Amino acid sequence: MTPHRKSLALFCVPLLIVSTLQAETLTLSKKFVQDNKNRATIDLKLELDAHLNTPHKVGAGGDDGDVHMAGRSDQVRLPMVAEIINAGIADKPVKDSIGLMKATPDGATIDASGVWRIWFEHPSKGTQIQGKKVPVPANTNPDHVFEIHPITKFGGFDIADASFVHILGKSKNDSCSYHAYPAAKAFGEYENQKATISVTSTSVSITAKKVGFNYAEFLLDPVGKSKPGTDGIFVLADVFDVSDPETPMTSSPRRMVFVSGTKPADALKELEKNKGGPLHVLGIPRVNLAEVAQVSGTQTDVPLPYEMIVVAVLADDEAQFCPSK
Amino acid sequence: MGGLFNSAVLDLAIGIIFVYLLMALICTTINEWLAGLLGARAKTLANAIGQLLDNQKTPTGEFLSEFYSHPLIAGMKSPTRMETSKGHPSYLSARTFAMAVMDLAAKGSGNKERIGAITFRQLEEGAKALPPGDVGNALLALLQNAEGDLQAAQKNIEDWFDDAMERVSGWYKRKTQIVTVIVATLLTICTNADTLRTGETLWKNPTVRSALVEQAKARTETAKEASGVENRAEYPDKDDPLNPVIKPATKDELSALKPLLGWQDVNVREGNEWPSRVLGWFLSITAISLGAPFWFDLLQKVMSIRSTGQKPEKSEDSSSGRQKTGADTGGGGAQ
Repeated sequence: MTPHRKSLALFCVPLLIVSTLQAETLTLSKKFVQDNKNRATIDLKLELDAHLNTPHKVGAGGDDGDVHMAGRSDQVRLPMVAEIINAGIADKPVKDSIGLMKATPDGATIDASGVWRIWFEHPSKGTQIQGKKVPVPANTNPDHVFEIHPITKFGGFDIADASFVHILGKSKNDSCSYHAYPAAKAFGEYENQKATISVTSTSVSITAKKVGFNYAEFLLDPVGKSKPGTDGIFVLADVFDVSDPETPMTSSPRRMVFVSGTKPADALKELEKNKGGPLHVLGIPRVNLAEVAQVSGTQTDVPLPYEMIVVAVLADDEAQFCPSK
Repeated sequence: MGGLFNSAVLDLAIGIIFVYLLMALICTTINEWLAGLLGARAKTLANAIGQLLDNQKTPTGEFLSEFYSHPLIAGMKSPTRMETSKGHPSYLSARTFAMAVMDLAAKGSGNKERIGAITFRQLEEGAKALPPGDVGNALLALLQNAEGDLQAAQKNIEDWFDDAMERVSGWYKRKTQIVTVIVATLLTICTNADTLRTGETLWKNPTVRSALVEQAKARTETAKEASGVENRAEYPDKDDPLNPVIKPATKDELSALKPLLGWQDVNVREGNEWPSRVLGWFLSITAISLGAPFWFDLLQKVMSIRSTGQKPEKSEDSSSGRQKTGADTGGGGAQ
C-alpha cells in the first residue's frame, strides 16, 4: 500500500466507523404514535415518485426479492419507501400491481395498504421530523426510517397472500428461497440496540444507531394468549434459534405482530387451538410504538423497543436456500 | 457546590421523589387491574358504538344488535380475561367497523342474499331505505362527500368512527384521572403515606435515606452492563400484549418503603397531629396523581445532578468506575 493510500485509509476507516455508529433521530407526532401503536398496518394514499422496474433477486441480505418504490404520503409525512414482497413470483395480483406501479406516472397517487415499519436501517444524516416538508425522493431508496413493508394492497390489488409466504425465487416451485439471518445473530443485534427517547407534549423523538438485519428466521413460542389489535393480532412470545429450541434469544418475551387474515395469523390461531409447540417463522423487526408510548421524560435511555412482524410460517423442510456464490 | 450535591438535602429530595414514584407505580398497577376486572375499555368502546349506532331501526330489527351479530364483529368476541362478561371486544378497527356498517346498510336495500362485493349504489340505496334514524342520516351525509366512490365512502365511515373514538379516548382519560385520584386517596390513607412524616423520617434516619437513594439509583441507572433490560417497558399481563407499562415497583423497592409507610407507631388519638397528617396526605395524593412518568423523569434529572456532583469522590473508588462510565455514556448518548 502506498503512503498516500495508507493515509487515506487511516482517514476513511475511522470516518466509516463513526458514520456507522452515528445515532440518528426520528421525531414522530404523539398522535401518530397513539394511532398506530397497536396497529399492524396503515392505509394511505401514496404519491409514487420513483420505483424499480425489476425485483431484487432472491438470495440473502438485501437480495430479498422485493420491488422497491419511494414516495410521499399525507398520512405519514416522512421520507418513505414501500416494498412489494415476492415480486418475482408473478402471480396475477402481484403481476398486476407491478404493472400498475410501472404504468403510474411519477407523482401520481395510488391507494396502498401494508405493514407500517419504523427501523433505523437507512437513516438520514439529520433528524427526520414528521410533518416537515418531505423532499421528492431522488431515487427508489432514499434515506428513510419509515416504510411500508410488506405492501398488502396496491391500487385495489390484494397481494397479501403472496406477501405472507416465504420469499421464493422465480416461481413457487423454485427450490431457491431467501436465506434469512439466524435468530442467534439477528436477535443478538436487536437486543443490544439502544435508543434515547425524548417526549414533549406533542412529539416523541427516537434517537438510535443504524441497524440492519431485516429478516430473521426463528422459532416463536407464545407465553400468553393472543389479542386482536385494531387490524392485527398481537402475542407475547419467547424466541429461539432453530438450532437450539431450549435457549431463549431475548431477555424477556417479545411482542409478535400478525396481520389479520394472513397465513401466519391462521397458523397462530391453529397453534393456540391445538396448544401446539413453537412456530418456525420468518420475521421483520420494527420499532414497538406501544412501548415507545410508555416512555416519558426529556431524555430517557432505553434498549430500542422492538417487535417482530411475522411475514411467513416456514415448514421444517422448507429451508432450501439459494446456493451461495 | 460539591457540598450541596452530596448533602442530605439532595438525598432527602431523591427519597421523597422515589417514594412518590413507587406509590404512583402501585397506583397505576391497581388502575390497570381495575380496568381489566371491570372491562373498562370494552365498556367504553361499547358506549361509543352505542352512541353511533343506537337509535336506528332496520327493516328487520335494531341496527345496533344486527351490527353485533354481523360475522365480522361476532367473530371478535372471545372469552378472554380482558373482555366483559358479554364478550364485547376491547378494541375494534375503523376498517372492520366501516365494513360491517356498509354491509348492514346495503342490506337495507333488500339485497339480503347479495352475491359478491357491495357497490356504491347498493350502499346509497340501502342507506336511503333505512327507516328514519341517526345512522341513516349520518350515512347519507358521509356518502354525499364520497362522490360515488365506494372506497371514499368507506374512508368517510372510518373517519366517522375515528372521530368518535377520539372523543371516547378523551372521556376514558378523564374517567381514568378520576379513578386515579380515588385510588391515590385510598392508597395514601391505607398506607398512611404522609409526605411530612416521610420527609421527617428520611431527614432523621440516614440509613433509611441511603437505602432509598440506592434503590433510586438502581432504577435510573441506564448503562447497565448485564442484560440491559432496565427501562424496557414490561407486560404485567402476558395475555395482554397491547398494554405494556414501565417497570412496576419491585420487591426490593417496596421493602425500602416499609420504614416510611404504615400505621405502626402512630397515635391516632393525638389530635394535634391530625392537621399536619391531613396536609401530608393531601401532598401525597396530589403527587401520586401526577403519575409515575412525571416522577421518573424528575428522579432521572435529580439523580444526574447528584452523580455529577459525586464524580471526584467516586474516582477514588475502583468499584464505582462503572457508575461513572454509565453517567458519562448516558450524557453522551443524549447529545
